[in-house]
Amino acid sequence: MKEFILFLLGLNLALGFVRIFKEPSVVDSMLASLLLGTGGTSLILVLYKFTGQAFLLNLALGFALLAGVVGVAFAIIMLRDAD
Amino acid sequence: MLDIIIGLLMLLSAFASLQNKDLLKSGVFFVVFGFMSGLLWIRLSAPDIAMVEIILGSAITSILIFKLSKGVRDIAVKPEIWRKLWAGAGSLVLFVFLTFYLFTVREEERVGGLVFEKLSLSGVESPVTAVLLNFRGYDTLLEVGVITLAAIGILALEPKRKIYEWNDIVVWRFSKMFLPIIALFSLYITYLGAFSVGGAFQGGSLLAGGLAFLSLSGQKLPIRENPTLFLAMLSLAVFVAFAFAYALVGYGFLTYPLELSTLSIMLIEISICLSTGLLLYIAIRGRL
Amino acid sequence: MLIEILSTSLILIGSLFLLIGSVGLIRLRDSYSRLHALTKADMLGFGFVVLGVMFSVSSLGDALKLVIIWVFVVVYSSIVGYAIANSKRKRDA
Repeated sequence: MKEFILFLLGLNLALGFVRIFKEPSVVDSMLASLLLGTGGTSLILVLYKFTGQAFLLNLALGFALLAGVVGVAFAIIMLRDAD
Repeated sequence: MLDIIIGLLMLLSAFASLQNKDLLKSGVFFVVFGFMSGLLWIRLSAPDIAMVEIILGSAITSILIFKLSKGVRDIAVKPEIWRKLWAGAGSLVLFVFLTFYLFTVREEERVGGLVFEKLSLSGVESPVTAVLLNFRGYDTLLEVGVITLAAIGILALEPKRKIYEWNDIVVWRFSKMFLPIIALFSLYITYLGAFSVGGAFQGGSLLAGGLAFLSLSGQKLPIRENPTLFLAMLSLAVFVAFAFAYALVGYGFLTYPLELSTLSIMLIEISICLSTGLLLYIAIRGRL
Repeated sequence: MLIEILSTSLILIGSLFLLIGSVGLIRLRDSYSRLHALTKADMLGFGFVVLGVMFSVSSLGDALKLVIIWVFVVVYSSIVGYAIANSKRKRDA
């Protein structure tokens, strides 16, 4: 059961790739980065529950904080592309 | 099963990141690659490296790549086939050599046991921090020097192009909410480095992410330029001052006396966190 | 034991919702609808995952950290969604 849940979460991240390979536009890449942020944080949290290592909680918090920065950075920089 | 997915996604994202002509999409694949590497480090029971990889190697580096993608016109340089073959052969030789070394090094030659023996003499409880800031402190001193020099180089270039900002009220308000929490958390992670997983560079890069968020939302840091520069160069000065002070007093270059080692390490770590955050912020922003 | 079953099933439901979001990302036709599907389903799935993990923490500090993680993911998810939509609108104009 644990392996299955981890596999599902890994599959979640892999599906983001499929989108980029089908139609590689810039906005879809932004959506993939959003998916990576949320899905990646949940993967780290589930790993924390299953392995019990305490640092993973801090890592999840750090990653959640920075995934927002990366996503907004991506969107802002692509905004200027239209000019 | 998860490991297979991690491995496959690592290879796939590295390949896609290198093959893509558009630097921006390469950046996204690089984020995925960094995150997968971080997961790999977690599975290999190397938590400090995992934290540095995910925070610094994945998030901060990708912000730098995104910024870079606006300035580079054409990166489609296709190397000839024999260069690719040379690169492949060199990587194969390195791989074989490292694997051979990994399997033939004797147990007594590994330094892990030695670190744990001397851990009580180092002043901190985490072996990684003890190695970084006490046993091999010279390496960290040089690393701090390298980052400082890189930031000085970036400042010296003085790019004339616009800083990409977005004067939008939503992002502005949320960045003001994020930054205090990020700053507090980065100091917490730095302090935690003495006992368990954490450390100065993780905290510093987290702080840099928060400052980058602030600058992306279109506002400057509420500190003037000269204090910013002073704080950015502070860690190198502090580190070198400690090294020379202990040498002058008679203990040796960068050798802490036993009673003061915890205090020295904590002070150096806090200064590294603050300065690395500001230096990376300068590198992302391109100027002060 | 019951709590273990409860938390594991909550995490399972959460990851299924995350997968639904990703499938929406692949199958839908327009970028805006993909963004809509992704943010809504992801936030729901992530909430379930956090709820499931929260049952197995041992101290109040850890539970508080989980709540903070959840708040921040919800916040940044909405900001990034807004930023992506705005970016796409300005690029298409």
